[in-house]
Amino acid sequence: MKKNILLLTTFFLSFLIVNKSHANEDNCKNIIQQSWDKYRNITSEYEKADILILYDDDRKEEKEIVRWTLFDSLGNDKILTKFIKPIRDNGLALLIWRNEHGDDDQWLKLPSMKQARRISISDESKYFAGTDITYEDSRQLTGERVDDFSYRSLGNNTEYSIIEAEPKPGIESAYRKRIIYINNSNYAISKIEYFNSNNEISKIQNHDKIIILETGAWRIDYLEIINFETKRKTIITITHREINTDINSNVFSKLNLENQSK
Amino acid sequence: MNSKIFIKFLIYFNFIILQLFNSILLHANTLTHSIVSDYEITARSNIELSYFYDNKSDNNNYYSRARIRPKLNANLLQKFQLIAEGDFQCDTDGLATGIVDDYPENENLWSVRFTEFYIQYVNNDLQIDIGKKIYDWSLTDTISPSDNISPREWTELTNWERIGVPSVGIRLGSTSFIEFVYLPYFTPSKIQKNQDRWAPSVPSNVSWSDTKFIQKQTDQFASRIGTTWNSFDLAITYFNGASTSPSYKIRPDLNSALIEPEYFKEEVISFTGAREIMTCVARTEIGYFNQDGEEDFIQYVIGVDKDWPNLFIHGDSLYTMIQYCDEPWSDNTRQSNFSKSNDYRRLFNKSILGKIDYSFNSEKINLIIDYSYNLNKFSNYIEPIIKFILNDTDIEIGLTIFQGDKNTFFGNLNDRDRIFLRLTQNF
Repeated sequence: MKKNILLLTTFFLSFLIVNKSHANEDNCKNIIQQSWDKYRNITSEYEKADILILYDDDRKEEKEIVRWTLFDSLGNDKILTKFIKPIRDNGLALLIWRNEHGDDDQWLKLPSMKQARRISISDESKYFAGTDITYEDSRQLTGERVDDFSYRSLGNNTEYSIIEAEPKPGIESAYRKRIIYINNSNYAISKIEYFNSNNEISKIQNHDKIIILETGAWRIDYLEIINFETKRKTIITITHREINTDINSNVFSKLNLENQSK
Repeated sequence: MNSKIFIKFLIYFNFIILQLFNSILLHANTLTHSIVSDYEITARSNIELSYFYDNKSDNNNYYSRARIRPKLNANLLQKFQLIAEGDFQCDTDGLATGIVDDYPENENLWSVRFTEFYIQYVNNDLQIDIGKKIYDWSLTDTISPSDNISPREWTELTNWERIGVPSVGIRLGSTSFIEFVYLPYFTPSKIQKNQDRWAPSVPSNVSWSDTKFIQKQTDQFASRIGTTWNSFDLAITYFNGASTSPSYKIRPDLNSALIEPEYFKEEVISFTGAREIMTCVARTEIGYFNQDGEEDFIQYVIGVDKDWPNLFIHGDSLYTMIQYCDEPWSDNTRQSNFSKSNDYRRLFNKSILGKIDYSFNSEKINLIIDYSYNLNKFSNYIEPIIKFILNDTDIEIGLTIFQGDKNTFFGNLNDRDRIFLRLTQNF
């Protein structure tokens, strides 16, 4: 009898612990989902940004980009990024089609070539155009697919929820894990710590100026990426933004990528 | 001309041209302000020095080239854009020749022209281009059965370029599209011949005659239908016009012979496709060439390319591309072996072409290797280059090495191995 009670108690306690960890993960996943739902609370976006890259040896590089984003309710988003400056990068462009049920599509147009070329999405960890933004980061500009990651709470304070995200088995990612700091009041992501395959911190992304748009969507007007592996810092300042404008879907075509139009 | 003096002249000349250019722009700005709402001007200049360290022929041991290419991209009124790129180049050894379609051009030593000059109109799904434009419909590298509109300039054999053509182009659609290009007259490629540095060597009693071509008024036409479906980039193209590489007739002439480059009309139907397969991108093209007066053939190219980021050290990247080209069928009515072995479109049949590009230190130093290896005969080349990227300046140091049996295309260039230095400045 005593043995049965002990077994039942053990079973019940185990059930509670497992359930609690699932509840914990579901809760974290919900927080992440809510954060990205708020972020995506617009239909289109046009941005201009200045990029400053600072090296350890005091060198610096300045770039300027223009970016168009089309948010799709089913997750089939489209992002076009074109470099304006420096002169060498003028004409460099990256087009991404996110596919909710299937692999994403990516095309790259180099300044020296007339044609845009399809590129592999498996190049997640490759840095784009000499910045500290990887191709994976570029794809996730419209949000991450929460079903691809496992989430765990690392604690909360009055200001932030701190959540660890790890890619699930079978999901390719440039990062072993990320630690995400989400503002409890507006669900904006304030900071992300990225870890490499050796579980060492690779880079930290600080969102120093967060604004809330009229639709309730959060945006970052100034962000800083400190990369410990490349020993450099990338600072991105948004200089112009328009939302919910009528961006023709033709903008997000391979042919438009090849156009020399401004 | 003394090369040191010439090089100094080129450097000063580039500087003077740029100063003049800026001054013209300042005045042009006020004149065009009412038409041009927004514009952007950039420029590139190149200086190249090459030395043939294994030269056994009568050709020069070295040559130098200089080039400046200003580019204008201007928004005109609404929905119209002007794209113009000028090109001034000079070469101590002489440029490859074709029809002089631009004035002035002096004895092949220098040329001034527009590489492109066209007006573009874009309105939703419709795009119209009128003027001189470079078309590139290729999906594969170097050899492309679908890329037939723009002729080639072969002044630099391993760094050839497309030539802009007077044309009217209409495109409808975006992700799925249909495109038509009409060329009112024929522009030939600029090919190596006579004593040009990459010209095929010929016996001493053989000389080159002028290029014969189909009437300059011969118009040409091309069309393309394309789409992206299920992550496949697919297209079918059709071309009716003159080939980008001439045929060669050998005509007896008293006690010698004349090589006569001659262009024929052709029809080309091709299919292209690209898709990511297992972390690589696979690309393929296949084309049927129906040539008027020359042999018909089918050519295909198949290749894969892949990037490996952070391979040895963090921030590095290794890009590799490998392609195979072949001709599974031809009707074998070619009139001369010389013609077939010097047809630039068919040089790489039964060859593996490849590229390796390794970048250190976040793309500031690159090691690039281009190569071709023929599986059927001994006729190969390899070109390794080290490239330093310093802000807006590129410095490249490289070698071009040819190998092959005599009477093969690359074998005939055995003594043309060279070392070169190339400086490119972006403005």
